[in-house]
Amino acid sequence: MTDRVKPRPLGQRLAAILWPSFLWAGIATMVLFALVDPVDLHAISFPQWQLSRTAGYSIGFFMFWLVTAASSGGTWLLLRRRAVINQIGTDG
Amino acid sequence: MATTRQTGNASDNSSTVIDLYVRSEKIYPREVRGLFSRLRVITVWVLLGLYYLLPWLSIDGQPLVLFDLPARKFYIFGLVFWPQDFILLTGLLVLAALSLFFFTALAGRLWCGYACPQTVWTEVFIWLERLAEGPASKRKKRDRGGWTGEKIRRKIVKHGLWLIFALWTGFTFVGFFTPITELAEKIVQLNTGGWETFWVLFYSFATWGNAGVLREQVCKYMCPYARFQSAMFDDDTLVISYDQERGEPRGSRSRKLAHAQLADNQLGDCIDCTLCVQVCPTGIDIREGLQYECIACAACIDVCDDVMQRMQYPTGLIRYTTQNAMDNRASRIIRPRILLYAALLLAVLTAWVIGVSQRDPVMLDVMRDRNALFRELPDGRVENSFLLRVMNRTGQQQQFSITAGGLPGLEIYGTAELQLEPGEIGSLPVTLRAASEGLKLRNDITFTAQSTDTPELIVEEPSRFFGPRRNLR
Repeated sequence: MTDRVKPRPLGQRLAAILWPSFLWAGIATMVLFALVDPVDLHAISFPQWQLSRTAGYSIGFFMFWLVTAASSGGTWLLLRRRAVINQIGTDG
Repeated sequence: MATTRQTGNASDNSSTVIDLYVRSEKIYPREVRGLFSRLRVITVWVLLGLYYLLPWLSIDGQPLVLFDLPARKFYIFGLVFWPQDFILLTGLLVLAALSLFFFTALAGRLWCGYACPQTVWTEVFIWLERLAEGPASKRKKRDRGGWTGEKIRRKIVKHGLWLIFALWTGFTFVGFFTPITELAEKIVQLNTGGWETFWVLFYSFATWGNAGVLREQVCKYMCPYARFQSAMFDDDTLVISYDQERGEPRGSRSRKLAHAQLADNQLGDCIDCTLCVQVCPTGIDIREGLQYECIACAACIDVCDDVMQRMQYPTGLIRYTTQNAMDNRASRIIRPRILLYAALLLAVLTAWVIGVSQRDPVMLDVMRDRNALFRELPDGRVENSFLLRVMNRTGQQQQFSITAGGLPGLEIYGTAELQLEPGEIGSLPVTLRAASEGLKLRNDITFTAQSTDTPELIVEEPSRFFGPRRNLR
């Protein structure tokens, strides 16, 4: 008898990855931009682009979110049960 | 809870599907009236009133609360914080966290039941839902049934109300970070910046999703506090409990026999009406004991007290109490844990108040010109360029004069005056010249900014003046 594990619903998986990474991205953004002015960052990175402070904060936040979500995604990948990995065609 | 079921697949009938999750069912919390629900209505009005009003208020032309990100200045109740005050803002967050610990140890999840934005906005979304779709029992019945014209109409009205409320919430949220009157004007003229529009819509969507759709699932699956709040609990913490000893054995009874059966010890006080389960916004049965899903909203207390009164039993079958009281031991309010949290809270608060009051009224930042360390002039003197930033934290306009010292013959070439409005940060490019003789590679110098109006306002900042390499020989 082979055990088949029903995958978690996609929504739950996405929420478990995106939500904690969102929280930490927010915290990281606050700390970074409390110490660094996005205008200064702009001057030493892509001065040829027109970027406001608000755009700088937003881009910073999304970059953090991308990284933290990638890390959460890696954790999810490593925590997958063997039964799920061995099942072809499911991705829980 | 793990459930197991056989698959209906004929070719694979030896395998079992292990279901490791239970699909969360939609909860229709029944309306409740009573002391604690009145308290919550009051806190909802106060907190949301503050939220929607604060961005519009200002004193003496200075916004009451504005986290002015575009200008990198935070206004909080008359105090202005700059990025340099980051440590004070961190202190404010630490204070908030410690208060949360203190109140959790004292009275359990007060935060969750009354003050958490999730609770507060969910409450409003449920009011709007009730307005459009009627009471919980009707909503449930209608949702189970097929699509009718009335159902579609009511759903459209509900989502319309939710949408307006969510958009207003998103707009107000962005109004905390950018002046709200300007934002309102821009919206009226359909002239908002891309990012502003994005964040208004993002926060509106988050409000709609969290308070309208996810609700108790946010508390159960997404909230970090729900996961660690039990660490602050002990046997003296106020929790909502069902009095098992008094209530069991539970069971329904006729009203006539209500007291007779009690006297015979056949039944406890719980009439098993399940109203406590029906009103619970997280869908738990409080009679099974304290559970992490319980957000301490006390809806079950209100409804049970009402039932007890109607049965002419004493109220408080479900009540705020402590584990010690339940076990017939004495409860202590003052205990090491409370004292520790209180002491920490007091210490950080004191440090914070001192920190805020001791802030320098003037700040001076000196940055060296990044392009060239020094320049040699035809007359043999050496020149260094700097960018000075002066911040006027006083409430009055100030005229600052800049001087530099630490080297013989050091002088400022060009303007050395700067006029600043209250709260203004001004930049001044400054060029210093010094004689080449006796100049080392690196020379310590000091910049001084002094107000000409108030000479006590003086601030010094060290920097370096670079000389040519040959001066080493």
